[in-house]
Amino acid sequence: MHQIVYHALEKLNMGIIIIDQDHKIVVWNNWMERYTGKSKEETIGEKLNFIYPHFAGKNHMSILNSALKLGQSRFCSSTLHKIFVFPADEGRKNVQQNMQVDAIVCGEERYALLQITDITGYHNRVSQLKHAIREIGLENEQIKIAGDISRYQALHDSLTGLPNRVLLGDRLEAAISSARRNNQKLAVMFIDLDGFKAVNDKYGHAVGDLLLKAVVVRLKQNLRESDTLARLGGDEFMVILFEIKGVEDAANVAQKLLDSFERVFELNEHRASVTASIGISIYPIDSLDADTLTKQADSAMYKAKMAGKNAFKFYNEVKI
Amino acid sequence: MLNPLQKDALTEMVNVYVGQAASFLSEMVNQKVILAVPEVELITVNEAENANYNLPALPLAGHIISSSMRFGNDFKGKAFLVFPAEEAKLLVNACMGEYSDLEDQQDFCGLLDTDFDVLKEISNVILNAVMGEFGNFLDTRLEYSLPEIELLYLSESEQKSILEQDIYILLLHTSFLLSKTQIKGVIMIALSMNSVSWLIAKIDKLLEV
Repeated sequence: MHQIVYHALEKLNMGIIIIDQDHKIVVWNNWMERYTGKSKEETIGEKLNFIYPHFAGKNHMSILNSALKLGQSRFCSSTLHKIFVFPADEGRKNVQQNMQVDAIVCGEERYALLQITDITGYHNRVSQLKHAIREIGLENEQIKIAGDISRYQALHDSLTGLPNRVLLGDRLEAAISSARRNNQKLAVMFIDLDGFKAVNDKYGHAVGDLLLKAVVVRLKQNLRESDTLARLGGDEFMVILFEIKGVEDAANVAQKLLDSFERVFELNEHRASVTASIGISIYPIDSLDADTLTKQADSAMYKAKMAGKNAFKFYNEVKI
Repeated sequence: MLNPLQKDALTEMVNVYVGQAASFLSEMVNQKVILAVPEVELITVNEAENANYNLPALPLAGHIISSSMRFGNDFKGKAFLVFPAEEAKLLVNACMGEYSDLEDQQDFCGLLDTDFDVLKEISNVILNAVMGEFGNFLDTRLEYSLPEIELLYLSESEQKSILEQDIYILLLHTSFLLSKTQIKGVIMIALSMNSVSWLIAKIDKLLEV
């Protein structure tokens, strides 16, 4: 029976070392011979710390002694200790081993059993896995950013950065429901530039684009942060004025917007003059729904154009 | 279960034990580790199961890491070191010199097998130190198993079920301090009736002197 157990120990696919109370090596199995290149003749009967001086260190000593004296078992992880016995193949890099220390009691005699496993390959797989997880995380991050960008692009005008027709529709719906809840008025303004096509034809599209950007700057200067200014395309813009007290407020803002066009636009070496025609519809006076308010503002804008441009008109003519 | 004097004596004893575990850990991970057990309780499973019993500091609901180790001979039972899974990951990171906040921690799935090995060793050191000293105190020789690590999910209603096997539970509320990180866990020592009586008798003897 002893013979079988001894042979089994030799065949185990892990390093087995047994030491006695003086730390002298009693068993050094075949795996240890193969792995370390140190034969049984060289090791058995020697002190473990003679073969591997680091076992004389305080930490290792206390691990071995707690098994030999207190009978405690101890698991030592490769992550914290890296290595316990050195492989014969010195070219191997980043070797990682786990070690388990157990007490063996044979009558009066006490021994410590050291089981050593090489888990370098395993560690490499884990670190590849960690790497892969990190990569996937980064990719996911980039996809999210790309998603955010395309969502922004889908809702904004690329030239001016203003909300586009789609986002404006949402904002108008939201503004109407908030005005309904709070019993407030709001104004929709349709703005079309007068003379923009002439500037475009005369100086080219690049200058036309500069003009549109400059117009946006002036419009914004005369609106509140909370108002929405959107570009519908070409030289058409739309404004939602929230929480106005009455039509007078809308008229005042419209006049300020028209006044802002008085100064000549300086576009690099070119100078251009444009004006605007503005049509205004009022919630809830003109209509209760977004589409109709928009159409009404549009048709009021045409009235302003017909009346000689550079003017604002309400959908319902009111005396102010 | 314990009168204030017994409780004080036990708290003081246990703090000395974990102090030794802390110095082992400090050397292993090459940084200062402070372990403290601010509170010790001895409760019965019945008490723990009683809904009225308040266990505020027990991190026992949700995903937890439990490391358990049997010990035996005359003084017999099972010792557990339990952490919430997120805190376990912080502990592993701190031991490896990587710092992160609980907020950075996406989820416990970040725990890889090599991390479990680190937790196994840490709990091994702590539980060995504590149980070894209990053995010394009672002047008896203990046999130990290696810790087994489990990742468990416990809902509120199940949270006491891991205690059911044994009758008495010695609860040591434990806090780990590694440079910038504070991690809270709990050591639970499940003891048989005989073992508890033995321990209390020994403490009383100590108090008489």
